[in-house]
Amino acid sequence: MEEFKMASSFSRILSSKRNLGILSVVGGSVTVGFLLHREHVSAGVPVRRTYPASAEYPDLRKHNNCLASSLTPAIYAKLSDKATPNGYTLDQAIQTGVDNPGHPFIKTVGVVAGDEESYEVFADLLNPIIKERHNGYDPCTMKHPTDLDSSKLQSGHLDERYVLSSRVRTGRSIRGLSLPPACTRAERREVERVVVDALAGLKGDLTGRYYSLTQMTDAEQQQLIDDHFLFDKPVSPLLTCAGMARDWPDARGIWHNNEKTFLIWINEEDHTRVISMEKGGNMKRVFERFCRGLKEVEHLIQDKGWEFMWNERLGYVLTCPSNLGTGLRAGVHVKLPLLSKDPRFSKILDNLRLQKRGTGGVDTAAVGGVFDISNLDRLGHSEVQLVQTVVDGINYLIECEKRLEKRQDIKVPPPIKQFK
Amino acid sequence: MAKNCHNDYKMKFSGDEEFPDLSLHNNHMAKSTPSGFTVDDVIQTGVDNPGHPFIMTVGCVAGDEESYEVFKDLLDPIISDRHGGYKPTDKHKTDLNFENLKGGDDLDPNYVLSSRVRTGRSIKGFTLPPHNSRGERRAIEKLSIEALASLDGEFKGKYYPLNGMTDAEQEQLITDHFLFDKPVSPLLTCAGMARDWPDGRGIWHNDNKSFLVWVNEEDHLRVISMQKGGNMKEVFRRFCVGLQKIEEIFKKHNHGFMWNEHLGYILTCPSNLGTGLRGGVHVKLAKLSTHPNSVLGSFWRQFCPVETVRTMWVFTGGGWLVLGVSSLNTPDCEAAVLRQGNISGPKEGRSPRLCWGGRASDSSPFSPPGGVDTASVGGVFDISNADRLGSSEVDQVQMVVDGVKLMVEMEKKLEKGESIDGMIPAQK
Repeated sequence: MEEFKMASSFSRILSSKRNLGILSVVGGSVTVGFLLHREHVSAGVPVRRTYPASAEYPDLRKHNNCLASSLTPAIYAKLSDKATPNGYTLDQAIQTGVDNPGHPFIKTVGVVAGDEESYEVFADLLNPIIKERHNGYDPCTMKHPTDLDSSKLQSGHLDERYVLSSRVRTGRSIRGLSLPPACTRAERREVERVVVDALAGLKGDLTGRYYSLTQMTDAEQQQLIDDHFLFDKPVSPLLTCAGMARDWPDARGIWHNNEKTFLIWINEEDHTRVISMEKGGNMKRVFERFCRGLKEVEHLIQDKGWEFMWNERLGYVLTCPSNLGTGLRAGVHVKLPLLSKDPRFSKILDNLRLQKRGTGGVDTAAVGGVFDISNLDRLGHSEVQLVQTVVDGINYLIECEKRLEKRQDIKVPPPIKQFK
Repeated sequence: MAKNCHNDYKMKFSGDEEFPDLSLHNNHMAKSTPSGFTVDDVIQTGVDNPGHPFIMTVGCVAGDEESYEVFKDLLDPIISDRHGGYKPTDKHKTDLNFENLKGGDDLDPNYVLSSRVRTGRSIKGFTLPPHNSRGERRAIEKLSIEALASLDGEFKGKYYPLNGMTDAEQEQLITDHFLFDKPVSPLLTCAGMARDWPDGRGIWHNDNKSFLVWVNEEDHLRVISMQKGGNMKEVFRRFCVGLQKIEEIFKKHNHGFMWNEHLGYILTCPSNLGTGLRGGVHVKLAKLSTHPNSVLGSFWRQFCPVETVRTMWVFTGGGWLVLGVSSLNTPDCEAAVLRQGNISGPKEGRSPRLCWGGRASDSSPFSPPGGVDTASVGGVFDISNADRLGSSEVDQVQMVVDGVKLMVEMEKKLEKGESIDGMIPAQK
């Protein structure tokens, strides 16, 4: 009985990444000594009750999310005893979807990746979810195009009588380190170190500075708030239940260039979020700086032996399956007081593959007829294609607004072709 | 693509690099319990919740019975700090013989509005709420339902699963102030206790609505005995009898309660070790609470940032005892009211041991489940024992009974305009 217990706890130690470092320390005699001293646990009491998958299968009957749609008992049974090499399990990946039943009108994803390998190990669950979320994109058969050549963008100067600001954001993950739901404090600090190190090498209009959340002064904090750069500890249970807010604010921070047009969040919902923005409608310049900055950062980390998580099936790998591919959201704040009151507004946006949000970002309301309008898609189209979609779409929306100002009628455009 | 990709090996981190910004021992015997609970799991809630300058929360949880052994280097000093210097060699006395309680049936119901005793129990062989899986939690629920269903007489009752109750049942449970909510306090959520809510959770109560069991909230079981008025003796009798009946049934199913002679009853939070018992009353002490000479006024104004919560020290003859008092009030009370707290006090360099009760989710006739205008009118306070470990159930309820009796007498004197200076007993 003792040997059995020793073997099983040993193998547990072996499979747990966090204990790799102490393998050399935990020798046989130490383990046995430890077991013999556990006088409070009587022999014969199981150390942890294990149950068949059917007993562990979550109750998703009241849930409305992609997890509930795709996690059949059969898939759960197949994957529930698997783990990534880091030790990340299916139960961990789905915890946020189990804890957050979702909303009848808004279908959230409900699964996160703890590391790059999650997308392989749990492919039986994640592939159908990716397909549902990304309009039929099939990771088994299709390839994702990456194109960061901003010179290809056309008509990227938007009418500044309507467009107040322009912005492009994406995320990047550092290959070899676990993602925010699973990372240890040391890994998170390593992400911070690697990225901050690289950013220190940016030059010219990209020269900038890092502000660590744990160390910024009150004055710096106030400035970042005034600039609308400071991000908060996540409060959304979608994120907290996935474990992304652990150890806050350790190893979190914000970097931005001196001109305040290129900004990087470190260790928020992804390893990095990269943002290019400016007031006005010059989406062309915003996108140009975005691409240039991203490529620069990539070179700088590669010089030190690191790289971004990317593959041709899924594009850039990020924490949430909804951000795979480009991870790109390109958008503007645009005044559309007349069009937004037109009953056809939603349909027009839909057909243009655009979504609207309030000016506070996701889950906020529009104020004064000003909307945040951005691309819906992330995966299966390149960065250039998506930003072009936004540019073309915004130009169309502005045309509609102008026509409505002149009391002319507007037309709902035909839907842009999708993969389905 | 690039060379020197770090995908080939995972980074190995030494204990130093994983070291959070806390002072921890480094000489752990092993890095996880047999069920796989690690020291990082134990401390996560404490790392995520820095605490309050005036309120010292614990910051650690156990994931299973073995946690208290495997991580004793960390937990023993915390237990000592939290439980008045309790040593690793000390033994805890369990006494659930209600006949040993003296008095307690004569608290003046004009002042004592309700009486209540609660504790927690963990079921041997299962891991605790921060760690257990859905399968385990459901098994605990199933076992609990079976055990409770076999109770009869004054203990005959019914189980209401959180995930299956009808709207009517839910309404009734809310009206009775029995329904507990998904925990919102980050102290609990960061420890993982709210996972999979409301799966495997439920409420059982007897037909008389005087004996209540919560299943799978912060502990496997929370057992509550209560009634209106001041007959604490009867509340404690029912508490002891009911608990012992339940324990018998679990033992028959080969799943007794987690207990040992050093730590008493084993619960998720180290602050609840020992008896896990909080015995308290809701009592009107309008005059006493504002008495200028009571330590209450000056101390609280000095230390408490939240006006709705008040504190008071009372010393009874018979042993050193500090009772905590909190004002039953708005949901703000819930926000400020975390758990039992130690505050560094001003007197003689000693830490007064204060206790807040009245979490909005604690069942009681007076905690408003989100309502604003009940209670607190006329200074109604929730007074309960602060100690859990190192004294028995009878000792602790006795302290409450004696202390409340004294305070009511003080209140009556103040109402008559008399002085109470001679009544405040010396602190040992």
